Amino acid sequence: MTSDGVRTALGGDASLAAGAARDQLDIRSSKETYLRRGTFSTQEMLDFWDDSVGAALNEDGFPFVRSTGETTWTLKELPGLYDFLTYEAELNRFLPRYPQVILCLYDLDHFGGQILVDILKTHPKVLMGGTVLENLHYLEPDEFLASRA
Amino acid sequence: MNASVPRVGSSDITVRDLLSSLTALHVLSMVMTDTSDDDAILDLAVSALPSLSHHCRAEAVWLDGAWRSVDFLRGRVGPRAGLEAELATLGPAGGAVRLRDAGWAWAFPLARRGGASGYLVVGAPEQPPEHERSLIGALAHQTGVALGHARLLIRERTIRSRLADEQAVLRRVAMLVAGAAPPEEVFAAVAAEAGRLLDADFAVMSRYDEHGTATVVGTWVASAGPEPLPPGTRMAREHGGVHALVFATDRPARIEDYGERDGVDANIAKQWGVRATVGARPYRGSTVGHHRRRLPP
Repeated sequence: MTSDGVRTALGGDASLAAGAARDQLDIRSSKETYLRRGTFSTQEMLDFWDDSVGAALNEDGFPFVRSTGETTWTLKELPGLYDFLTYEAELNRFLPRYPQVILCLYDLDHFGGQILVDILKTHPKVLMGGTVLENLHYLEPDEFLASRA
Repeated sequence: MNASVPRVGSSDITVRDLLSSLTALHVLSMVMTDTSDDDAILDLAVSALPSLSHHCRAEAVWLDGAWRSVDFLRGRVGPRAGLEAELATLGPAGGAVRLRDAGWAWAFPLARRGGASGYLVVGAPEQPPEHERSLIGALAHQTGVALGHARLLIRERTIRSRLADEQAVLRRVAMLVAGAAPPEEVFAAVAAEAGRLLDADFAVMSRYDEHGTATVVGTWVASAGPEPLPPGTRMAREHGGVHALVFATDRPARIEDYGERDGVDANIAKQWGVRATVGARPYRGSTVGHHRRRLPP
């Protein structure tokens, strides 16, 4: 779905519409974010988050940022699985830099067991079927990268 | 390793990797148990293996006496020639097997209690660390549990659906009787409902007289066309068909093969290409469903 498609789908929700009018809600497609340079790059994407979240907090004056990244695009524009999981692990290092929450969305009907297991390893909390599962032993970025070395 | 990455003790990483793998395996088993499709469960298991073991890869899945092909996002696992004889000698604990391309190979059992029975065959260039073997063993066990659960769920749904169908049939017939419908209409409805419930090609309801001769009182055919046994047809007891069996035993009866039989039942069966017949006695009569294919047990 395109960004406009998402906005249209949310059109009936007055609170979201008001938020969008004040730039409180920002919707970007995968081509504007993960693939904005044509191919996926961990550093490019981390820079994007840094720019976007930093601007929302510092320039727009919002006190907190909630972000979500939908990942089904990876099935079509597949980065190396290693690269993408490295990114997921690195994201954990980016999180404490700002007051924010990031929710990574994975459609279980589309992703296989490998990505599911690796995602679970690199995320401290998983929301699945309405239940929050805490992974006390999740791997820090360094650990994940080292375990793959 | 990247110089900017802080040094982490290798044993500590192994422990954290193992612990996080166990957590992931726990969640994966929840996802598999929520799945009611064999292929989807096997796909999840086979594709998860590279994340649980850095050394091993899934080579084959043997399930319920046959090889299963598993296509997943980044590969395919298919039949392996020459393994069947080795698997046949393995017990419930699984064991080592030989694979031409692998220095080490092991058949991990898929749980068999009340469900699936088989092996997940895994290979590696050399024997993997114990903790990886342990994780793969747990993965295979959880896969078997999920497969067994899925089958139980399907069986339960089938039974529930059948019970609902039967209740609906009883309700429809009861409403017909309560509406004072003529007997021939009720009998035809009973034959039709029984035929549909049994997924039969045609069905009849008949009445016994005291000598065991059966007279057809209601009939139903799945597809348009003439009725093999129209109302009024009489079948003598000595002809040995399903009607006679039900009368003689007062129990449900079935015939799977009319090869050497004769009589009205057998002649009709041969003429209409009937392969199997099942009959039961509701009350002083019988309802018989005729199938052109083999009946389920």
